[in-house]
Order: sequence, then C-alpha cells, then structure tokens
Amino acid sequence: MTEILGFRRADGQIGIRNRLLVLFTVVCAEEVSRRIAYQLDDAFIAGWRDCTSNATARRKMLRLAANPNIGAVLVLSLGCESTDSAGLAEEIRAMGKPADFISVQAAGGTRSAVALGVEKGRALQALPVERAPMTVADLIVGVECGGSDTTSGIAANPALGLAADRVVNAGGTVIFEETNELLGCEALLARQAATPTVAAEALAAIQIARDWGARTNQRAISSGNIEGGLTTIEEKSLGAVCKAGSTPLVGVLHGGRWERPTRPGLHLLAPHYVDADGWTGGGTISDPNGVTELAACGAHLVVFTTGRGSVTGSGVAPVLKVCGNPETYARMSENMDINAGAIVTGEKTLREIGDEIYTAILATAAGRLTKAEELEHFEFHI
Amino acid sequence: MSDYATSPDMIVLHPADNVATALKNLAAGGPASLAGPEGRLQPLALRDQIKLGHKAALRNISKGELAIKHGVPFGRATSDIAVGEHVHIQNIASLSQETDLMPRDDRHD
Repeated sequence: MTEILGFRRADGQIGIRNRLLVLFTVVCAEEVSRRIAYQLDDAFIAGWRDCTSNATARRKMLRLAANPNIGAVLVLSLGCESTDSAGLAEEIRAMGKPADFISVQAAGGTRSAVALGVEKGRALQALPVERAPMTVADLIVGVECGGSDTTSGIAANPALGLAADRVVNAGGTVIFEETNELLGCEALLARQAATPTVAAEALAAIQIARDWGARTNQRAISSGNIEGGLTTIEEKSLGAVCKAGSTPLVGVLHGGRWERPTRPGLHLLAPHYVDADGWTGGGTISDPNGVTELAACGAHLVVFTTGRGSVTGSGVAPVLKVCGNPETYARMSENMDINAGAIVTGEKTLREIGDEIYTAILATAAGRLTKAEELEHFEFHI
Repeated sequence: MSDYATSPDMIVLHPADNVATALKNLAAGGPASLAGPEGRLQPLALRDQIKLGHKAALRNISKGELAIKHGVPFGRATSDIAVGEHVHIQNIASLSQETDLMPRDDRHD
C-alpha cells in the first residue's frame, strides 16, 4: 500500500501538493506574474486576462485558490483593472488560506514588482504546513478526455472506468464532466443515479448540453463517426462516459459554482454554458478549461485519456495522461504516463491497464510527478 | 495475463457484450482473434469484412433484441443478425432520438 502523506489546510482538507498560486487579475500583470513564478519552486500562474470584472471568473479563481493542493496565493494586479484584486486576496485569506497582494504600479514597475513578488512568494512558502496521512477515501479524482480517436472508446476510456470504480469502491470520489458527450445516455445515467433527485439533476445537465448543441449547431453524431464504425449516438457517448466507471452516480455538481463534492462517490459536473451572468456560449470547451473546472471542484488530480495526443497539464491538479493509441504513445511518450495502447496491441488486458492507472493515481497522490508536471505544463482557463 | 503471439484482431469490452470491435481491418472468413476484458476469448468466424472500429456480432442477435457494448445497450436490432455478421446502421436503430441535433447538411430526408 502506497503511503500518502499530504498537506493539511486550515479548512481540514488535505492536499497532495503544496503549490504557490500566482494569480493575476488582468493580462497586464501576467508577464510579471510569470517572471515571479519562474524564480520560485512549486509556483505557477493562473488568472483572468480581461480588464473588466466578471463574477464567474472571480468565483473560478476563488475555487482554484480553495483547492487543497494550493498552499498559498499571491495576487498580482496591475493596479487599475476593474477586478477588486486586493479584495480577492482578502477573500482568499478569509477562507483560511495564506494570501498576499501586489500592485505592479504601486511596486514601481517590472523589476521591483518581480523582486517584491519573489520576496512575498518565499515568505508565503516559508509558512509551516502540517503533514497528514491520506487514503484513497480522501482523494477526489477528475476524469477527462481530449484529442480522442478510435482507441479512446475501446482502450483508454474503458480502462480508466475500471480504475474509477476502484477509487470509488475504496471510498474515494470521482468527478466527470463533458456533458455534451452524454447525449443518448439519458436512460443509462438515470439508471446509474443513486436517487431520483440525482437522476433529475443529471437529465437537466444533459438538457443544458442539448440546448447548447442546438444553439451552436454542434453535431451529436457525424457521418464521419458512422464511417468509423460508430452506429448510434449512444454508442459514441458510451465510449466517452465509460471512463467514469459503473458505480452509482451520487451527485451532480452545479456548473459555474464549481463546488467540492460533499460526499464520496461518483459525481457529474454540469456544464456552465448558462449561469447568473447569462449565456456564456462558446469558448468554454477546451482541454485546459475542462481540467481547470475539475481542479476548481477540488480535484486532487485528473486522469486524462487521449488518442491523438494531448500535452495539457495543470498547476493546481496533477494530470496523468493515458494514451490508447500505440502509435501516438510511441511518438509522444514524453507526454504520456500510461500506455493503454498495449490493450490494442494485445500486450496487456483492459483489467491490467485499469490496475496500472489505479496504481499511478496512488503514486501521484504520494508525490510522484506526472509527465505533465515534469514538463511544467501548467495550463489554465479562467 | 494477456497471451497473444500477435496483436488481437478484435476486442470485447465487457462480459455482457454481444458485439466485438475490430482493432484492424479484417477480411471476411478467417477466424478473428479476440481480446476480452481479462484475457483471450474464443476466436470469431467473420461472415463479413469488418473495418477498424466497426463491430461484428459475437452471437446470433434476434430482431428487436438489444445490442450491447461496454456492458450497456447502444441500439436495437432491426433484423436478425447472425454470429460474425457486421453490426451497424443497416441492422441497428438508435434507442434515442437525436436527429434534431444533426446539422442541416447532414440530414438525409
């Protein structure tokens, strides 16, 4: 059994990393933020680029700051953007998380802001943190796919589903999203739901994705899918949703609020095309955004399946890559943690790769860096 | 443990499935080697050519019966399907109604 020694936070959560989040509140402060993070260990940047303030962006930044892998936050403002940056730092401190604030204008420009940022960052990182033992039951694991191909539905995703079942059966939590890939799976999700309320919430989430598809003319199943061998929309969707496993769906998380699951088990994160700020429309679908949303819901790590290849990582939640295409794996092995292509070549069974993924989840939680972390792929999308 | 001298021709994803998915382009006739979730399964004699990503019936599927992949129904047989036969849109209908999401240029009405 891998021993996991995490980092206890003021709110009682335990993280598997102890990172400093350098959080910029306008693109004008992004470059200074990057230079600060470069000079510090275990530091990375994320932020909101627009000069206007935005309630959804603010909520997402707060939810990322709340992730237990974040030890402290350094908020970087230019000084004249609309977002209340000092107030954001204050709100993060109010959550019990150490935070500090820098205005580039007040600091006196680039060099002095970078020097001040490095000094404040080191001070935040020097704060004592209690180590605490963790088990799988304490873990929240996000599952996601991107750059999919024919192998995704027959190798990487089914294998990840077996690993997801092991996490939940050990008392842990799994979150999946990509609701637009659940079309045609309404009956399945309703059956998998633990209660009628959860079933109704899952169906409502799928309806949001259906409406979005209608507005944006997104096709559910294309003639190319059919030529490739997919017969029905539910077969296509099953190839994606099987990565969440087969345990009961115990909760649906509201898209746009990105709340942490309040009980263990399998959760669906609903899409956030619509929220209090109105219709957010396109621009919300990308691999970095999916991973960021899972991290905002408190995911300790994300297991990401791909066939064509993906390089996406996250500074908040380590991303484990599972590649189902043996040719892609050979070509992009520096980005891939697990070769699910071995299922296709017959070297390993689905069950064996499922077990490999589960073992990798434990090793990552225990501190082993993923390929994306080694490469410092710290993408984000606010 | 997996025990193939060469890579398998098809994969069965769940013990409850009644279809196998081709991992390569396969000609009609020859027995296709099958990977199961936990190891090798009995080879399947193919009645049709099965291209990569396409499916063949693992057993006879009667008209009206559910087609199962990932352990879950993905459609219903619209005609009797013999073991080893190509399983696709010519003999399977969706259980859901998704045509409202098809873009105009993809509609065939």
